[in-house]
Amino acid sequence: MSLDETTYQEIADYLAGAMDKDTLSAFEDRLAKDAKLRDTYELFQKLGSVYNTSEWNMTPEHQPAELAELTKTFASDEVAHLSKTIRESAIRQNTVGTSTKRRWWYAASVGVAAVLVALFYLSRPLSPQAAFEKYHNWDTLPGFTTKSDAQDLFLSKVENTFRAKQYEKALLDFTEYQKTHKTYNPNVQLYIGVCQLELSQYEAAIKTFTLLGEAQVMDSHKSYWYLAMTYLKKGDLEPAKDALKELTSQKTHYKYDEAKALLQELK
Amino acid sequence: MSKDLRFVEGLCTGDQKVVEEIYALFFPKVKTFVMRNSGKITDAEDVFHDALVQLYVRLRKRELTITSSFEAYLFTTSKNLWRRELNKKRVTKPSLIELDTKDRAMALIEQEQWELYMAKFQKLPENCRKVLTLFFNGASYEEIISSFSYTSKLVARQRVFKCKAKLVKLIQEDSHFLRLKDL
Repeated sequence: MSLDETTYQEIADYLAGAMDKDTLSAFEDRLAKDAKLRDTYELFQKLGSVYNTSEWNMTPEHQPAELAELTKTFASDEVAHLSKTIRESAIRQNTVGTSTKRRWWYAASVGVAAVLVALFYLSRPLSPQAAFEKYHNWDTLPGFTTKSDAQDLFLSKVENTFRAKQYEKALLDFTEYQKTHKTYNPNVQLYIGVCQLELSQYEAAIKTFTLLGEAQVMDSHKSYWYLAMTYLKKGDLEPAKDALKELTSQKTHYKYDEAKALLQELK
Repeated sequence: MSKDLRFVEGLCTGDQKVVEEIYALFFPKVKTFVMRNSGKITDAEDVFHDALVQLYVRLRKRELTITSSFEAYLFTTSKNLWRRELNKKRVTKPSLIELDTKDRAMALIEQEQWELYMAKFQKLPENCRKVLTLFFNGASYEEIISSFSYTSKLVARQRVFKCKAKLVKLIQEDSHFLRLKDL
């Protein structure tokens, strides 16, 4: 089924746009007529989307009879029976999960309370930087999707750069993205702020998170947590506490419990 | 009996206890993956369900032999089913994703072809695998040059091309691929 080396080279030249006008025209003629060449060319083109980790581009050719046979199997009683068993397992897991979770939360609450009491009576206040080290966790930042359109793929790639702690490059890419897109994207802003924070560009980070809080496109209280993290890393205790107090003013606020615990540790 | 064999046999016979064990052990990882990629818990449940059903059909009707671990196999299948859904942009629908039987059959065939492509990739020399992994995941020729100390962009481009050509040949020469093409 495979072709000779010259033909492969021709396909590569064609894909790279490295053919002169006459060669190109002759090659396109062959492509239109030669099914084997066309198959190979299409396979070359397809490779990129098959092997990258974010797309899904499998379009196998199949015999209708094979598909019909498989469809029949999926619709059979035995599969329906298994399907029911799986669904029941899911329900049972959730039930078990909930009661286990309740017990766990109860135990955890008691544990946290004990730790808080111990901290309150026994420990010395945390320094702002130590508090930052203890409480910052970028894993909780929202992830970007891995849909196939270029915009999502780009953001997903920049997120990977961020996760690899290449904050300078991630900041550049996220900023460039925001410049070229008119729609204000709060999640992109969040990443921009955290990149600035990691790069010790504190004033820029404070500005980003303040604007984010005022933008009314996300829960504005969420930005107080990141503001607090910025001030802590910077070593500004009082504004960090002010931001945390904003969070503890309502139980429904983002990271209410953590903000409360952190305030205790900073006193 | 090894754990994996017990999972395979339990799934094939629809053993409630084993299915529950599979759920308890392996669903959390799938849930995390789906939820980190724009999905809800209900999407994760559907994907996990469909992956188990697909696995069942392949074990019973398609002579599937699991060469890696049961867990790895189930996770990869779930991951691919979710990638497939994302690609079809069904995630924007408010209702849950329920594949119909024909679509489930299509997903199975796609999964089989994907596995063939992956197996062929593993047959490439290590250097080719490294170059193509970078290339397919969006690295520029400049990045490839610096990673492999190639002397120029032309050399890097030729290297990528030669590796792609090797891969295309390996895929085209596979009997299963030929069968899929000829069916």
